[in-house]
Amino acid sequence: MKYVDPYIPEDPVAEEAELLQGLREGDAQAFEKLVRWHFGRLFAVANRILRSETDAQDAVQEAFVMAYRAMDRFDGRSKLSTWLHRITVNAALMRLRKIKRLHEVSVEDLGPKFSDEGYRRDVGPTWKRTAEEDTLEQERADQVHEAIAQLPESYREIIMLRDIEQLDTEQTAKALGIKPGAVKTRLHRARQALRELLDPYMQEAGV
Amino acid sequence: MTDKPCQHDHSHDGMLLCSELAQFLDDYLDGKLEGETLEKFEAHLKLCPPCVQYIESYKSTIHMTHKALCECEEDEAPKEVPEALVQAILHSCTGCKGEED
Ligand SMILES: [Zn+2]
Repeated sequence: MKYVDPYIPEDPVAEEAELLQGLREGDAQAFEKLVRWHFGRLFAVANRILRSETDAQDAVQEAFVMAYRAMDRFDGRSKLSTWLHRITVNAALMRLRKIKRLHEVSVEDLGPKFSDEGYRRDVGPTWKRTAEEDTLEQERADQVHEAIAQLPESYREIIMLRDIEQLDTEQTAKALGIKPGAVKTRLHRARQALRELLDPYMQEAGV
Repeated sequence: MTDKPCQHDHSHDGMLLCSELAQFLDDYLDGKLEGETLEKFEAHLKLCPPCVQYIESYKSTIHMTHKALCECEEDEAPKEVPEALVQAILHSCTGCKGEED
């Protein structure tokens, strides 16, 4: 395959504003610049999730098509590059779900467990692995990606709005058209479900 | 999983139950919990190792999720762009333009 240099603007902030205007007016050249500018970074993101260059390329292609179609709905609350990042992560996670034949989990089934008296009963052995250890960083990232890929869309979405776009509760509520209280509940359930999904792996003794 | 519930006495007045902690957890971790609720929350943790352990793993989950989703460092990105793929992307986008609802 023939490789060419990416497009690297001198002033990224000014360029982003200009591209955005072009994109909203349906300017094909603006979109081409956007693709050449962000391809490498988005490919790296997808490849980190899929660990296959072919699959990563497919995911990036899918993400750009989705972004192109959703451009009207980009509201500028985060940087265009961050928005593209979120769309790419989602495309890669959905591809990962398909490749690994992962099933969507029920968040209700992964809720915390308490006795009738309200005592906690869901804590098994302490996590032997730590979130910081470097030696197995790739393996651990794979586990986390698979866990997120198993979440139902509304839960995956809220995790990504918070963790990628870094929206606060109010902003997330506005983006999703739900009440702040509902954002908090959904986010907590999503994190709780991820904790349960990661629990067996995190309990294993590290090497 | 352990079947042993936490052993402290929840029976006296105003003590939060383990099951009541969840609603305050994210605010607690964000440092947004204050006043009486914060006091009650912390009083529970002092007496309840299972909840402390749970919160540690919940915190690790947030940390790991964040790390797994973060934007890549620039140096991870390939220095060049595959031209055929760029063309394929542009083609599928200009191709999909007419299909817009
Ligand atoms: Zn407790």
